[in-house]
Amino acid sequence: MRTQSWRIVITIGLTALALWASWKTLRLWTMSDTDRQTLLERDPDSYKNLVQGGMRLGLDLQGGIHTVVRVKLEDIPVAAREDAVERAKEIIRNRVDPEGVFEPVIQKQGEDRIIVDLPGWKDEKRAEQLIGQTARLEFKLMETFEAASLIVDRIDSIVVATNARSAGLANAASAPEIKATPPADTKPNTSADTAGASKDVLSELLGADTGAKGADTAGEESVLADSTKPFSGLFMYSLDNDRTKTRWPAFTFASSDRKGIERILAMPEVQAAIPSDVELAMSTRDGIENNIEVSKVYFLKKEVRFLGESLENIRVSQDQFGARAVDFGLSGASAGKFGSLTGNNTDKPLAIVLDDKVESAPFINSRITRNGQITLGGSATMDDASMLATVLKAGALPAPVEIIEKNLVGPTLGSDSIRKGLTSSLIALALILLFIGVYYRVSGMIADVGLIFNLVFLLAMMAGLGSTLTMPGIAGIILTIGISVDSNILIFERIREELFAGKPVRAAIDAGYDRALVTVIDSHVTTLITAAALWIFGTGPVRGFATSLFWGVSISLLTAVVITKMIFDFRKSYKTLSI
Amino acid sequence: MFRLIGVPNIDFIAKRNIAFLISGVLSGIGIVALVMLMFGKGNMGIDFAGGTMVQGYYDQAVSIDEVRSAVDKAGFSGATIQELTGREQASSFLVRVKETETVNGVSAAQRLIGALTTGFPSATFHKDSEHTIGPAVGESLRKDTFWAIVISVLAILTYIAIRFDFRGGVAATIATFHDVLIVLGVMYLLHVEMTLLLVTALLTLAGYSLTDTVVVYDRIRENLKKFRKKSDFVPTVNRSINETLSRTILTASTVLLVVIVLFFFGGEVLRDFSLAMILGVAVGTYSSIFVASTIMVVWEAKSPKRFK
Repeated sequence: MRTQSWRIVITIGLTALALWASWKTLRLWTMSDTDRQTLLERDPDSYKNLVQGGMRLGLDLQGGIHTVVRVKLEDIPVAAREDAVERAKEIIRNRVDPEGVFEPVIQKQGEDRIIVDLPGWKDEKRAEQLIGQTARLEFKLMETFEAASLIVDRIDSIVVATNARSAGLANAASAPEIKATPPADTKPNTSADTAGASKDVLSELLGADTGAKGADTAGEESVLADSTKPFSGLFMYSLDNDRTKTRWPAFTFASSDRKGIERILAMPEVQAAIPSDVELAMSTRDGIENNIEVSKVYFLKKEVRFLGESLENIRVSQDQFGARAVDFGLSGASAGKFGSLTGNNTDKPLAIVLDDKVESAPFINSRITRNGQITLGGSATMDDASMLATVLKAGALPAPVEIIEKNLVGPTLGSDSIRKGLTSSLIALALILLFIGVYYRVSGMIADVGLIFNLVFLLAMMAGLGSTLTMPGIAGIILTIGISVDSNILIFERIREELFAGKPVRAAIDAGYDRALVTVIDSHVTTLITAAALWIFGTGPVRGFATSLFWGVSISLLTAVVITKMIFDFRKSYKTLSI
Repeated sequence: MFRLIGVPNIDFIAKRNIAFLISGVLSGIGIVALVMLMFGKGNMGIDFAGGTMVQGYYDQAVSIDEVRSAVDKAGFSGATIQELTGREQASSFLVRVKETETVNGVSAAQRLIGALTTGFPSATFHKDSEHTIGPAVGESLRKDTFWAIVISVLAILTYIAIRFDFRGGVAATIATFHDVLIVLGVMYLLHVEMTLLLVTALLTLAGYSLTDTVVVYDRIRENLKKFRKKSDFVPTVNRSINETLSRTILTASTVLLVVIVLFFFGGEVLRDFSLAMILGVAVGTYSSIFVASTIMVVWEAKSPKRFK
């Protein structure tokens, strides 16, 4: 009975593993739409976790936009071609992935192509703009803290008024819902050290005094949380220049509050309250501080002071103290222009704005004419530095792109396909279960159990690996249903032959499994070979099909042989066999 | 015990001339189709040829001829229009054209949708999906598919070389190509669009059709161990085919069952794919009974090796 114990252990172990691998998918898919929406708003992180850790639906099933763009390398100077595709990719990511909820897939393909998949997107015009536009890098000055504070106060009172009004309304659901401010102490306590660590400095390369870094950063905790301040209460701290003891209106907030902030900023009353020469811009990407994801909102002066096209020789380097930095050069008229801009605004932050989002806002250390250096804060990594360099290069050497493939699937077509996929899977499964059950009686039902285990394991595995389910993938699963029972047919036919040859039932079962095993493996090898070849060389739809067929048939080798034999062996002696 | 077929005693080998005639003609059509496709003649899908495809429906009844004339009038070339059935909306269409260029900022898909909208003042067109594949993407998909075919074929041939003796290997290879060519020929005659998914179906059934051949050959080899006389060869092959017939037909039936379900319920995307699989499983079963083994018998008769 040793083998039998192993079979039981394997079956129970795999079932547990399957449940563990698929619980995120199960939880997400069994949620109602409203529950999903609630979770997305209350706890976006755990929602993201559920989405990322589970099976995803392909564009053909949930609708969305798939594009392939080509970077026009021939339009770029030879010297700048090398990482042009990387730059274009970074720009597209920067534009389409601010929230990260849509789970876009952006990857390089071949030499000059980028695949951009936007599942769930409906707005094709916006998608095309975001993907197809050439990057625009601008330098802007920031609004003063005092002026920004006035705007913030105004926004706070507008939101308070709106909340009061909607609370007074009987039908509160129809009024814009503004999230209540959490008490200040639930926010991570902002230490001045972390605040100081994220400050960047812009200085003349060589010889310039980088000043503030490492200096006294204590004191200015700018925690503004207050229950009467639904907008500014979400801010953790502002951008402070420790050397000049001035504060600047770039407010850090927890990324989980982004939706609330965006909703406030989208209110027409709030937009009317922002002066026409001021613009509010979000940071290009989230950072991590005190183990939580944070974003920033910047109060900028709208006027464009300098364009990124003039930057030259951008490269990652270190400053004189060994901190991460990015160097750049300027020449001709632009050097003079940058010189007067930086000379007149020393100690103020200069925002580097890519496509209306702020990459960073280093403090201007001194007048810069020919060679500039942006020193990143102490906690900056190599990645941060190269990301900044990529952004600067993107503005200096724009990589024009063209869309060479576009596939748009409407959500109705997607749900239509899901229904068809589900219907045909269930019909196919029912017919096969019935066919095998009727033809081989009790033994057939045992094979049916094996087939169900096969499907459960296959789906759990796809969920656990975060695979994307597509319509051809469903076809692969359906084909698996038809092909994987072949193993049991081979085994049962062999058992019948042994019974005809006069063997006792127990011996016939054992011999049937033993002798058919080679044929079972043999008969699936060719299917596995072609599925593997299709997976390696196929793209998109072909890959989805190959994945589910390959794993389905592989798993069936286990379920059709081990699990069915285990069930047969639960009884030690057989007088007759229903086969 | 419930048996569909027991172990019959049919002389499959005796019917080899009829089988060779049928197989010859059908594979011949397949070879012609393959050559035509290699020269770019035939119903190439937008995957390979590039082009624009729009799927959508009208809220009022619109005939396929009206759609065709609207598309033609707008100056599109090589338009293929297909009416989709089994959807909730009546008058659902899939329109494919060769154009992919954006002219004056208006994409080919937008122009096509424009033609489908303005041609019908009384009915509103709703777009379900659009797909534009530029010529460059079409070309690289052709290249990728070519390599997928080459690698699959090499992998299968390697398997055959390891698994079979020389004659068996040649016969199995012929039978496999025979199956794929026949399905390709039929699809070509039916004017089915050549797409990535269709190629996937052809490669999958190349792998699948080999499995039946493997099982029959295994049985022949096992049974031949018991015989040493030349006169026993043909009866042994026949007996092996008959012994495995029940399971050959059963395993084919289960696969056939699911691909038939897929054909009827799987929707437009998978229809051609499942049609190819249905044909492939049927032809594969036929060839493992009538083609693969008979080639060995004929070869043995012409130049005896096993029973000298």
